[in-house]
Amino acid sequence: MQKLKRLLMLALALSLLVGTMSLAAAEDLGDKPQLKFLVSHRTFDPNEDLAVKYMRELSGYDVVFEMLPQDNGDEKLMLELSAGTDFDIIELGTTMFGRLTDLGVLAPLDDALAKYGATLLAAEPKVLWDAAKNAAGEIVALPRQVGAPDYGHAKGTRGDGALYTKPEILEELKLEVPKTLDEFTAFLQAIKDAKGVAPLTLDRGTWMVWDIMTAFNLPHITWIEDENGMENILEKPAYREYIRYMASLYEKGLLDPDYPVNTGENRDQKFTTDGAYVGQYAFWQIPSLITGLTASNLSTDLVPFREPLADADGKYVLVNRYGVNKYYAVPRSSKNVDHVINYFDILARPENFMITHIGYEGVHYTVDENGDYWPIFPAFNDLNWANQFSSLQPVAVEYKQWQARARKTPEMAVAYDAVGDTLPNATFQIDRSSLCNSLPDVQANVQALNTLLYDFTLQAIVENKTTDKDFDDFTARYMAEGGQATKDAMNQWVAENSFDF
Amino acid sequence: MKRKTRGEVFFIAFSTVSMILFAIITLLPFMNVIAKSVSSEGAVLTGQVNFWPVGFQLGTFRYVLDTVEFTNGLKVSVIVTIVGTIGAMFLTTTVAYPLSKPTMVGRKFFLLMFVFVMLFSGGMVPNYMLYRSLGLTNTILALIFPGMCSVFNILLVKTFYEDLPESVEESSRIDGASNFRTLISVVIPMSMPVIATVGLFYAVGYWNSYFAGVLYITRPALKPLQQYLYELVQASQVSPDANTITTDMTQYMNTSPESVRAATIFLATAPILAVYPFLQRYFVKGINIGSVKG
Repeated sequence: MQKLKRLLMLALALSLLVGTMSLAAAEDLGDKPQLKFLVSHRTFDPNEDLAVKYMRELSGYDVVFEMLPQDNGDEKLMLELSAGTDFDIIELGTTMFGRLTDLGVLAPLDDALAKYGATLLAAEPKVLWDAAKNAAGEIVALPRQVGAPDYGHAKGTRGDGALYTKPEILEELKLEVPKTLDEFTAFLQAIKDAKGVAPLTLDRGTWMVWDIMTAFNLPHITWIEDENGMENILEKPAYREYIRYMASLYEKGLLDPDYPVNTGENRDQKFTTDGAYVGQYAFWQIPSLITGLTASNLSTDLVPFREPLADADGKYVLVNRYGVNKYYAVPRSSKNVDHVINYFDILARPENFMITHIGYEGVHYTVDENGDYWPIFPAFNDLNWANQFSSLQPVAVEYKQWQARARKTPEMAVAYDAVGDTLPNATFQIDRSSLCNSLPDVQANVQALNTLLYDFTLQAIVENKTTDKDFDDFTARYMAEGGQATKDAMNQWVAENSFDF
Repeated sequence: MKRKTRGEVFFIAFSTVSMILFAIITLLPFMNVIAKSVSSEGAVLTGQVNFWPVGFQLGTFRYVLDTVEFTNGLKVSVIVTIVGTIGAMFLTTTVAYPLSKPTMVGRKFFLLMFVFVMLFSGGMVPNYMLYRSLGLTNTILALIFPGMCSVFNILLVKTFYEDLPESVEESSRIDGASNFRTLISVVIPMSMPVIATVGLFYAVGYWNSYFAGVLYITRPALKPLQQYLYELVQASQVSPDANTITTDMTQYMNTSPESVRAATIFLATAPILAVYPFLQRYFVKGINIGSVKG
């Protein structure tokens, strides 16, 4: 304990030292101007947000947020830029970042980063800074990392979609949560025989059921990277098996007959009544089911599949996304490059980052004896959106703190913790494909290809078009319509950016 | 009174039934939205709510009215609708009046100009550039100006003016009234039906206008209500895509429940809906006048 305390003191002293050092550097910047920050669409007004108020206080900059519309946001951004925008910071998705980099409208940040961005540079690994460079090798944006190769635990990856079932049916039919594919089929069949409805419900957008794909040793991503480079999921024979299995469920009436037209609301309606018994949910969707379950007099203690279905070797593969989820860039027209970097650097310092991310300890959150972060209500509600415009921070630190957000309600906390911190039989698939999103060939094709694959998969499941010829024909079409170009570009990138698996 | 033939009876019955059916079809979705907005979240989620509230509550309305984005949008939309409609009516009535007079010098030329811009416009991007160079983007004027002068409405009012009896205007001139006086005291009071109609067009147009906000506004506090509403409903329809890394969980964690969305839709529709009954009588009158004159 004593040792820990000493370590903490040391860390504090160090951070203070770094803080004063960069303050000294910042002095020659002169008066802090107002910074105009253009962000993509949100349903709330960032200017009114508590976290943004903290950002203003801590940084000393008057940041004013403006927002793109939800539809045609990219076109609107191009319009703003072509009209000679006066924004100082723009928030960009990976695709837009690639387009604007090619057009050369983003200001190089290297000099400013060298002078004022020590904390920022230390916050992200080199590969991400490389992904923020233009063709000339200049850094033109601040990359915000998502995921990390060293996550090593399942929560961050499995929380987004695990299968859940209801306690009543387990008890009534004396069933156990299945662990393999055969058990799962038998499980669904038993419920169907007893209740006469299709037990598994999905919304039409869900074509990759993560916990089922694991039984085929498939990660739920389109581009799968291994020692040999990137391959499309279509090229994996296991994907055919997965689709055939899903088609068989649909044909046998074990999968919701409304699956191809189901909205999320239809799905929830079935799952919270006696219309269905198994569904795929993210932990943060659970609280919204509680009111429905209560209204139907059903137990609110939903049972998650603690482990995904295992493959023949008893293993299951989980996805660790690793990449950039967005960029902060400065348009060339802005005169405040140094100030922008200074602004983000101040907010990247751990003590500041914490406040803009989850508020003040003891007011908005507490840390329990296990080092887990918990929200305090109702104060934490004011920080619902707090992580939206955060600066950069090593992802492991950010993730740990973020967990306070994942424990927003008791039910959400239970669901979040239940999908498994450590899963003994998990293997991990690192997904770096998003780092390729700025490559021109990827950018040009990614959306059309995703739609193509989605349409095909849904149709194959519903119409049972699963012969080898169906697959071969479609794969050929997919590759011809941009799949091959994407694959080649990605593999070239992989060759240049080797990675130790 | 003449007895109706079988064909007439059939025709009346058929029209009545189909009108009623049509009215119901139009009304039902709205009933559903209202029922959802005042039902408990649990009932909405389990699909028990159709056209009648289940588990009545008004909490969602209170919640929506407390949402700063909603109240901001409402404020913007109300100002835009009132100021815009008044301004538009002023422009339309005063522009249409001289154009309705055959004696006006250069009338043909001006009419041609108006019709030309009705058929051909500069397009979205030049418009945006113009507003930007005038410094109007991100101001409430950018929401008011685009809808302020509709050539179609001007022609509508002009045609109505032309049909007014010339002798009434002559009488006012004999009494010594100026052109402007004649317009205000004689022509406009006689044109109430068309003014009510065009006024309603403008008001509804402004209230429902969504695109000006998308094009000219980036400051969140200046977003019109319809844009907020549209985006709120859209946000709930995007489901997290397993395939994109940009999936930001916080976005999905804060999606508003369906009953809140329903309440927002209702509250955004109610004000303009309330305007109709007051203008209804002018419509009926307008039809009468037309038929008598014919």
